[in-house]
Amino acid sequence: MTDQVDTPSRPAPPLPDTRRTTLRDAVRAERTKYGSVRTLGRITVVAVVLASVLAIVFCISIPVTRGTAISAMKPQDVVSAGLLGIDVAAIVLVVLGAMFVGQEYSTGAIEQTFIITPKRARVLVAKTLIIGPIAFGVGVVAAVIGLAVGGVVLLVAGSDVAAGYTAATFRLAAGSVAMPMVYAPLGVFAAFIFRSTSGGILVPMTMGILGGIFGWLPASIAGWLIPLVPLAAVHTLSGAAQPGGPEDLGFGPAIVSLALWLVVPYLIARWRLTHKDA
Amino acid sequence: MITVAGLKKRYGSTLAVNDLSFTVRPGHVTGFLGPNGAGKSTTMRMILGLDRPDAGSATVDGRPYSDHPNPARVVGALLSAERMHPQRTARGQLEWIAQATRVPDARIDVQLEEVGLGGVGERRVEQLSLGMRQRLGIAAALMTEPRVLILDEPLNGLDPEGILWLRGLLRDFAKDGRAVLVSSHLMNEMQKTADHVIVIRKGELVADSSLAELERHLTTSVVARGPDLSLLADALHREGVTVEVNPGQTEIVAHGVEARHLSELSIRHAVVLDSLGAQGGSLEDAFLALTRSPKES
Repeated sequence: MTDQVDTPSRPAPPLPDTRRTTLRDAVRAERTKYGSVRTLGRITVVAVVLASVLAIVFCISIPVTRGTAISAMKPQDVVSAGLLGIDVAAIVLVVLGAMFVGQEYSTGAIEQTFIITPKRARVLVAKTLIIGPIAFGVGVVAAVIGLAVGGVVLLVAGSDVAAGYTAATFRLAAGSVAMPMVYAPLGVFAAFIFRSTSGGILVPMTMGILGGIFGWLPASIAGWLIPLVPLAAVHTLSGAAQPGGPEDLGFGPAIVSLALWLVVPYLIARWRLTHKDA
Repeated sequence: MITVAGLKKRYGSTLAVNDLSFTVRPGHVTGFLGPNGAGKSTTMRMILGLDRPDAGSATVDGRPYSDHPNPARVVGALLSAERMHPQRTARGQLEWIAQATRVPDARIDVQLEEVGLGGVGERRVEQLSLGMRQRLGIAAALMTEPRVLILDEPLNGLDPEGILWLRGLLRDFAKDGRAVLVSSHLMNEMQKTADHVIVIRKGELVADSSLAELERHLTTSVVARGPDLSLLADALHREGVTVEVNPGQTEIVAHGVEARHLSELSIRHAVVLDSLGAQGGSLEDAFLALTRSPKES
């Protein structure tokens, strides 16, 4: 049963804004989303707090973990222990990146996101552009705190504080910041791929753990597998890789490795978003 | 204007929408009706570009939704008020939409006031009642002052006052020459709100008609009462007429026939009648008649 209805002559509605929306608009919207969910802000604060607390714990527990008094340790190693807080921050930031995406899927809010911004790849980039700088910022803060904690512990132990701050220490700090900068966006991409927070957490965590597991394998196999995980590239950049060891990739290949660890998951997430139903 | 042409969507072995075509015209509130699982939400999702059709097309003002420079300023949509981040405030919910669509922030307060949420802007979504969330979802759809409105079951959770408010809002929206596509299972309410209806069943178009036209077709339902109407019911069944018979076989409702025909049949089969009369049509009757599968008649 069908019939035709004439359109009544009524005043035409205002023309819609025909200016094309841009990535900038999507980034602004995602920044507001991040700021308007308290849990996300709290997780960011937790990343800094945990990095600080564990930097202190790692430094003052040296006599227990290494069986040596702090004053007997090389000052550089004491400061390096404080920088392990960055690793903890990276883990929390993975959770942040995964939740930033995963919560939208679990609450169904992603539907409205894609109605408002139908170009879904733009949402992916916008979310990454929010989490990336946050990961960088928190990583830098954790590095500064780690360096400061190391110095204070050296001071309290009566060691030479200045000797703790060598070029190698600063390289370790700078290189370690690469870890949250790679792992947190990886959490974002994985959460889009698996459409869940747990998927977003699991992938970067697995990548992190695999480096350690590969180390247990026979050297001939480990030598092939270890360079493939992002941790090897981070250790190369930070100078933590043993020279000549399987983690020692060289600066250029390390950068390429980390770039691939970002680009390939990004492309998979993008394909998933643009080729599948929302 | 929304134009759906030959739309088809399959999820695994389930054919959700099959060769569906219709037009939602400006200046009208178009009710989108169908039983649960008929394919209404799937159709709306395809119009909004959330799901891809296997065949056919859905366009808004001549082009696919996502091809518009600022799509959300062309179509305002509410698919489910439950799908909002529970920790975000009502204001925060509208704020990110304003920023993504380049709507001035000043409109947020105006919109909250318009939907009756002026005093609860700082309340989190999880602290809002279902009715309030529904109003917030409608506010989000209206934020961009769109030319087309798509609402999936917007009456859910609204109190009688809210239903009246929404009815007025949709009518005013259409009066401005804008198009409204609204789905609901509250048939009586749709009868008061919509002036055009599209009915689908199992993903296929059953009716695309003005409400007045649909109701006119419906007044052909006839109610007959008598001590034993089994013979009459059998006769009607044999003619392929849709008949509802009560358990005692003392009352039947026959759709699509005239009272005179029932009277003639009862005489021919020597069936005694206590009463016989035409039944006024409602949208609910139309809906049930149109969406009932042949086995149920």
